[in-house]
Amino acid sequence: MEKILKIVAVLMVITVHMCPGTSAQDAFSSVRLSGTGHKQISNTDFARSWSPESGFGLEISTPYYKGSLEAGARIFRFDAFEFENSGFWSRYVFAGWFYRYAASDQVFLVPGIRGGINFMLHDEDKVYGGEYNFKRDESEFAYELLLRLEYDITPAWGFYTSVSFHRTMLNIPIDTLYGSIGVTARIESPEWLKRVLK
Amino acid sequence: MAKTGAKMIKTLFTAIVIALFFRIDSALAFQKHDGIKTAKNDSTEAGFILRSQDLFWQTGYHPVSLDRMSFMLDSHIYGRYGPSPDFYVDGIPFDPSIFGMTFTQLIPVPVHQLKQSSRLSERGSGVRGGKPYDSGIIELYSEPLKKGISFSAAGQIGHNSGEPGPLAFDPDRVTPNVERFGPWIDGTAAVRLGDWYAKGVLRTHSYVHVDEFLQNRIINLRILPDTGELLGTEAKTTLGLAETGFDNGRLEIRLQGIKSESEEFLYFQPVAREVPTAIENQQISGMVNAAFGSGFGIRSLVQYRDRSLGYRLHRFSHNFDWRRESLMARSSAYFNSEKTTIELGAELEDIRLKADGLSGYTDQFRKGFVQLKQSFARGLMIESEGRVTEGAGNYAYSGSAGISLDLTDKWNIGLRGHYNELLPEQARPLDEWVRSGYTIFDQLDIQGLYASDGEKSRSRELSLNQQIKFTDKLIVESEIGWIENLRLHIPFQYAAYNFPFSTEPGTYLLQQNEGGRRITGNVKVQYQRSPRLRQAVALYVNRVENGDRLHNFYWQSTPELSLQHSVNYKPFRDLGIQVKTQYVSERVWPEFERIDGRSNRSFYVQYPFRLFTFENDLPAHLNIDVTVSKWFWDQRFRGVILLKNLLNSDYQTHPLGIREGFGYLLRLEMRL
Repeated sequence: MEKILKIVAVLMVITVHMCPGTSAQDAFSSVRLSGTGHKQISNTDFARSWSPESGFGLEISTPYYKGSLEAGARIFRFDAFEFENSGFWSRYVFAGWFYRYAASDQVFLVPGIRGGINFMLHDEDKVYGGEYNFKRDESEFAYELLLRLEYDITPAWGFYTSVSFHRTMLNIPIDTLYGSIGVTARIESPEWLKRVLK
Repeated sequence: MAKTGAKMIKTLFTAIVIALFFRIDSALAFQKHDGIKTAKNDSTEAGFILRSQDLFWQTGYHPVSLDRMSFMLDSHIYGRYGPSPDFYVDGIPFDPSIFGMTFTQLIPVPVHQLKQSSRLSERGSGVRGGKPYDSGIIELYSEPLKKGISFSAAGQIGHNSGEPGPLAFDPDRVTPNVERFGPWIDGTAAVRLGDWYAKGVLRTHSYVHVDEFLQNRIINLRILPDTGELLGTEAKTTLGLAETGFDNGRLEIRLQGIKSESEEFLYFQPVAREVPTAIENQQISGMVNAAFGSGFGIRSLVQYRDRSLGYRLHRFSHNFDWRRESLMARSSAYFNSEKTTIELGAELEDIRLKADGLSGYTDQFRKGFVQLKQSFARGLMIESEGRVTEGAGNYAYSGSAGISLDLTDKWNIGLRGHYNELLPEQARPLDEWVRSGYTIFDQLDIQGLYASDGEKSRSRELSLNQQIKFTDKLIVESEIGWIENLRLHIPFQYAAYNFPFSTEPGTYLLQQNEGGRRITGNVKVQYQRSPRLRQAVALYVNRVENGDRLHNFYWQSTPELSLQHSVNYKPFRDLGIQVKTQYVSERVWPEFERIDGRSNRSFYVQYPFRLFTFENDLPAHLNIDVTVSKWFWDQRFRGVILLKNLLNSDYQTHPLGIREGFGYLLRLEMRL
């Protein structure tokens, strides 16, 4: 995973270095909305105690002066293997930045980075000694590095597939590798939205 | 795992920094953006203040905190147990310091409206713009008011990483919850019509002491032994300010009222831990500045303060039961001509104190001060200032004189000598009150020799400085000084170990006649590659040369070496990035050597496997913080995120204080 992270980090460097002229783009000119589906594809210590169901999410992005800005949310259910009532819902709310390399008019390779909060809600409180309990809800900062392959079917529609490395910075961090697919719709930004975003 | 994470973050961080630095020009070449509307607050010139410690960034102060909100500040001459620096906001003084702790939540301006610059802060002593100071000065400024009606608000919350998450369910890997910091909610409303304005400020701050290193002590202090009731461990402050004024450029009149109430844990040095305390402050100020002609004017200020420390329910009956009222009046007149600047002023402060064991206690200080700058020839100037303070028939004389010479158009050097005296009532007021009958040491079961000898503190200093302005964009400044404390009063004790409360007071001693010599120095480099990119680096050195044993002990808690580097980058009109890197060398607190190696543990039984160890020496530390801010709706809204301590290594500034690892802080601002 560290290797993947480093590769993405290097790609980020290249992105900032090697994009002359591209950033003259019209910032906030359009909005891309994506509906996404996710599956955990790594087998970590954590995955031995909690089994993830498939997750889904929503992403919204817009061109920035360089690259694109995005915000989104993803919901994931983790069922308990080992510990009773320890199943939980993970709701990751994030903001991020990515850059679209054009491999052709329709195909794009997209490295990106996200930061956000992973809100976790357990089925039950964990109670120790009959009276000391942890609360059901827990939240922590989480970052994510992603690589995405996008295909624009038309200027208004496209789909993508991606792999992302996710780390929630708990005391014992949760590292996860996700595979995702998404369907994207693109619309021109209304003037009011441009004003709000600028 | 933590090391791998740190490596990953370091790799990513390094990559981004390299990328930013090498491609700045190409990134800027194509940008065509409008000017910055709130230029002063949002330019790369202004340091971005997000946390309390940002106020002291590159000022030379090395803030020490147990809770990240209240600080002990090293005022250069008298150290961190000496008097706190003078604080000003927009030219009006206020005092956020109580018994040696500076509570930044008592600053009467929301943090999002504050502007800080290292040039607005000084350590040491002097006179600046009609403001005499004996132990440092920190001047803060708020954003200028818009014409018409304006509102602003900000909400802020912080969080240390490392919570247990689902692993709380694994008895082998259960870990403590960690600190949530905030919320802080600040609001302002203002109206400005022509030269007249009025404004109001409301601030509420709270946080919970659940950091694992403080938890045991704080919770035990708040358990009632008779009933077993566990009282809340929250610290909170509410502050309000109302101000009105008139300013036409020649005449400035301002009236200001401030009131605050806090429920706090006040770290009290003689007891070597916190005391739950209720704090109340009221302050009413009136200021009139008038300019007559182009070079003559007067400044005057009248200020009433009423401050009290009362009982906050806790396990013990420890109660400061202390109330201080003061009335201060200050006036000065200045004259500026082409070659001469002179300011002459006087100050009167009348203090009344009520506390257990004290009745009818008063202090009255009369102060006179002068500041003079005289140019003799092109590039040659002498600067001097003097202060004399009278209290109870005793006089303290302080002053400095220096010469400044432009060796070339771009190179200036200076030499300055200082001599300082401070009356004991100002250097160590607590000990003077105890000498006069204040029973606080008896109440807190503090044994020791705490009778002050009534002598003045004295010091002298010689410093050399230079400034080289290679270009308008590259400025290098340096200073080296030899400071000698001829007579320094140092409160000291070997704090003893106590499991439920971390410490118990050892034998308290006010050492009366400590002396010694230190070398201090700093080098600052400012480099502004473009209006959108500014870097500043500052190196501070504080080295004890020789001195009495306790004097040498005392300064070991100030880092011998610290390095602070900041990059402020605005790649686009609506985006700001700030990276702060700090290295601090090892610090030792000899007074806590008797708890060194002793156990500390989290309070709750959930964490049976976690034991911590107290250490009185704090290791060298490298800290990297990154802040990213994005404006919205033509700079009406802003979102800010701070990722602190990217290397995720424990950072402590006090042996009993919190240990900060990686964490984040979020802020939302609104300006209408």
